[in-house]
Amino acid sequence: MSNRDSIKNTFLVTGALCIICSVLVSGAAVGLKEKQDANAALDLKKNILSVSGIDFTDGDVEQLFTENIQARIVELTTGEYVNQTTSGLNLDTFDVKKLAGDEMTDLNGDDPAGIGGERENYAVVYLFPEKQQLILPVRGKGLWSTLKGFVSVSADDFTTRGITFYSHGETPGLGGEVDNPAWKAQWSTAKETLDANGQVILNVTKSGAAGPNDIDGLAGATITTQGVDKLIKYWLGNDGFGAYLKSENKFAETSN
Amino acid sequence: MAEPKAKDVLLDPVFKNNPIALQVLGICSALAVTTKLDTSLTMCVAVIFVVAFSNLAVSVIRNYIPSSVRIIVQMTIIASLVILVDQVLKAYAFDVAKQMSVFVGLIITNCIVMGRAEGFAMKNSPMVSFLDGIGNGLGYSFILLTVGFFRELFGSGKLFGMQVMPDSYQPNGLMLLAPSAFFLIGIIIWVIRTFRPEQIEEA
Repeated sequence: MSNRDSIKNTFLVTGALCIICSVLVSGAAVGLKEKQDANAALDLKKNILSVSGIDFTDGDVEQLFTENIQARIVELTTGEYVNQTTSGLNLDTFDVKKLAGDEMTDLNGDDPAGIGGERENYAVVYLFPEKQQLILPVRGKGLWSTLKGFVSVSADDFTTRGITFYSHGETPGLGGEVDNPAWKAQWSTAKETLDANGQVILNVTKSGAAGPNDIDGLAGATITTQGVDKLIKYWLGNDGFGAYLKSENKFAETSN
Repeated sequence: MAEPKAKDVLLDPVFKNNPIALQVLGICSALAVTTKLDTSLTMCVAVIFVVAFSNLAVSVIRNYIPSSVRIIVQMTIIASLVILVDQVLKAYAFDVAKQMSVFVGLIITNCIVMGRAEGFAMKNSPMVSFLDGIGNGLGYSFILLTVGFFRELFGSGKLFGMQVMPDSYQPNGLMLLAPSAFFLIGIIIWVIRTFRPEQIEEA
């Protein structure tokens, strides 16, 4: 092995190793993708059930979801539901990531919640008719990552019913405490979100929750707390679901 | 150097030369994932897999690895195996994988894995290296499961998510916080060194 430290051998070994390792890694990623996607879809349903306050620990998630929850596509600018037969948008194939061109709105640098510079014009919202709840998808930047989740509000007065984040990469024990049931429980106590003019008044504060529109932030996680505050203000505000929240007949049966 | 015996290589790291208790490696993840037994167990399986196969792979190509880039070569092998484990967990144990969040990925930086690849697999034959990996993984697992057992039992009154303590038991929240794992690891080291005084370091 006299030539093992030669430049030629170094390139040969590292090159071969890189190829073998990348085949291994990409093979695993591709081969397991279907299963992972199914898990992610199931996890999404669990999150929607939990933000609605439905206990699914002893039940069949799929069944509970079908029985209680309905999905609709909303056009954010008008706040109206999209007619699935005429628009070409369809719940089965709808994927926010695949929207492009005039289906997206360029924020022109005005992106307070850090959603990525563009806002989609369509979003899937979920309805829980029995409790008259609206479950809205939200996302925004925390400290390290984009927090993605759902916030559930009452359809009558828009007070909060729950929050959940199904994907984030915040520091475990600090910002990661957005997953803490004790913290999330504050959101299920009907905090006020909008004033009479439709302005978002809900605050996720650092200094301790005092008012009926205050949520106590996370200790030791200032940036994550601010991120949650901004994303709530953005998505419940006029740039987000504001128009939808003002629309009528949210629970009417759709014709499609 | 004489070839070490298979049995010694496999069993020594559990008590005699435990990677956590004697070498004090891999403490970070021992604190992070031990609040529950099921996450501890998943972590153990993942680490055993990664140490065993990274040792095997490094040992197989040990005579070809140029010494100038050997750490990077080991790192590449370890990182690939960790990604593999992460992908498998996301496919077959999604809920547990979610609770473990970043700590699966952090196996890459677990000093035990790197330490065994550099310290053992570079000098020994593939089969013995593989067993050494399993042995060190078991040593790590022994500590993790012991810590996980006590933390879940006293912190939540449960074992593997099943209620075992009577309802009147008030869970001790401190056990769910990282410092309690320090206390427990300290106590385990104390107990092991009481029975094996040769491990006591000179002050």
